Amino acid sequence: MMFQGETNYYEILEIRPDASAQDVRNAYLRLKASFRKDNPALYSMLDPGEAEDMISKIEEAFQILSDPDARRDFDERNGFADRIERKIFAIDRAPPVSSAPPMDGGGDDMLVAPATDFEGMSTRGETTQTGISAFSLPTQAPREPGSFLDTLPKAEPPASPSTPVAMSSPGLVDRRTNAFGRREADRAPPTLANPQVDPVAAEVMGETEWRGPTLRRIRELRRYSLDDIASLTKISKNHLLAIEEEAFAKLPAPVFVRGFILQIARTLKIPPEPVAAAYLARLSKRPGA
Amino acid sequence: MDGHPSLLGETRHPTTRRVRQIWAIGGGKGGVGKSLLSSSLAISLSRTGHKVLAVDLDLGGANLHTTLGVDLPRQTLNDYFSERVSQISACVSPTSIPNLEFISGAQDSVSIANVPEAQKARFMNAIREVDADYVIFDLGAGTASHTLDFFLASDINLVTLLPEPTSIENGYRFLKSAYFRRLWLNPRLHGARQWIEIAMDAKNNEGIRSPSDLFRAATRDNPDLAAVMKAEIERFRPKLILNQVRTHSDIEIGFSVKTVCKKYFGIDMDYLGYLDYDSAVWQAIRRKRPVMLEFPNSKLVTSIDRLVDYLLKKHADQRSSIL
Repeated sequence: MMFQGETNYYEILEIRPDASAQDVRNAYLRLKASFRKDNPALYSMLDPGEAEDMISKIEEAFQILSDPDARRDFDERNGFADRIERKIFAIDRAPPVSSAPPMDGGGDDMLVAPATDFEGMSTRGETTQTGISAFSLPTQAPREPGSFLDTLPKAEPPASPSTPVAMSSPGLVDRRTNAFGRREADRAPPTLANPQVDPVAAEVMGETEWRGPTLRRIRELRRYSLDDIASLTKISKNHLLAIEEEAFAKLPAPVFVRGFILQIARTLKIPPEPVAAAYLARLSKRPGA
Repeated sequence: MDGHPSLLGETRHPTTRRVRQIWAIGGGKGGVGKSLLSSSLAISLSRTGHKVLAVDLDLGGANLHTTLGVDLPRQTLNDYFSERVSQISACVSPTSIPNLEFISGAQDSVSIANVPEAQKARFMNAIREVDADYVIFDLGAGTASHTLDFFLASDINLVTLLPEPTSIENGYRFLKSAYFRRLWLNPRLHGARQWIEIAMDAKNNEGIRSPSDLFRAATRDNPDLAAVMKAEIERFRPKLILNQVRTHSDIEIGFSVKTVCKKYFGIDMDYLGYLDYDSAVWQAIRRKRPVMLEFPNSKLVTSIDRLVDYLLKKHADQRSSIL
């Protein structure tokens, strides 16, 4: 189904050969989500079998590229090692994005200039000759929603200094993103500046208690209103509110609550079982339970 | 040389023409916000001080005038295409908005729903010389050849989709038709026309269903031609705007569409961004007033302004990819 017969792992993951380990991971997660068979974006284009094929290609690519030894081996065998060196050479034309302000640091469009230069550079064929798409592709879904154009493709956190050039393009978009004026209120907490593919991932890392307020915070990060969740899960708004406020007395029997939490967790894309188990454990300890 | 020059009227490069850029809004399905987006972009663009002409190319169901808040004018594109008027300027009507004029689509004639080649060329040639800095094409639903051609002959190709299966399906169909049409029109790919025509026929017996099948067949047949085809494909850069977004996962659909387009068509689609679902829109439509004027403080207006800024800043030099 791929447009060209022969491809390489970088093309499959839509990243450049000098992508950082984090880029690789982000691309992997994003692509896997894209080819999930219930994704409406596949409708009429890919049948479930083709989507499965893509997923297995993506898995294979990730397995190699996420393993430093296997990746080095792959780079050497396929002539990517040279290319990566050439990229570093291009630094003076495209200053590393790490010198730019962090993504939440304001929306001065002037800052886009160096990265724009980079874009022009790649259009001139720096990367086309290698068979990689001339334009670097988005390596990540938007981490936080907001208004129009907050979601320019290639949304990506600021680069780590180790891979200056590859990251400068995504960085560009982040700053463009700001240039389009993400509203302050829509801005996610600073944790989102961490290179996480998912706005919530940083938030939930190490979370074990899964309290109501945590669920609310995740919901807000996901930019769902209570009404959204209610319509998506068919759970009444009162129950949702009671869950978030841990107003246990207003909740039905634990078996129902468990069902609610599982549904909410799935909708919020957090691990359903641990969340439900932790929440229910607290529920069972409530006074009078 | 046929193909492009006939479609574009003449070979003179657009940089020497009066109009700086043509922006086209397409998307396959009806009701995905093409007219709304067209009128809003036109209004926003006119406020940046540029002279704008909005053209309703939805020749069967014109309603751009309604989203612009003006009455249907006497002269429409129908008169131009049927040569009842000789100058395109005779079809241009004023609006209440400074710097913004418009041309209405033909609402009264069914026969015009397919525009003859010569009229397309005459129109494209004339439209680049109208007294405007920017021209906005509001395209009709469907994949009629004139719709595809006006889309392809524009400098900025915007595609609007809703995050729902019906719209996505039609959106892909529109892109696919435009994609094959674009290859077919290219004089450098005349040698591959037979294959392109087979690919355009969805029920063909050659097993050529997708662009990758076409590309494989072309490569087998003539590798040099396949290289030209690849370069041509990569020049096609439609831009995606997701409309009526309600949830976070809706936003992500845009990224998935981009990925599918890359994998399926081999094209890099620019996902420009999304517009939130906004009840201001239907309220404005019921009042037959442009949402840009009726709800000047709505988030939608800010979003549209940003989109215009972005396109002016980042894509000012973009030219129709069939030139």
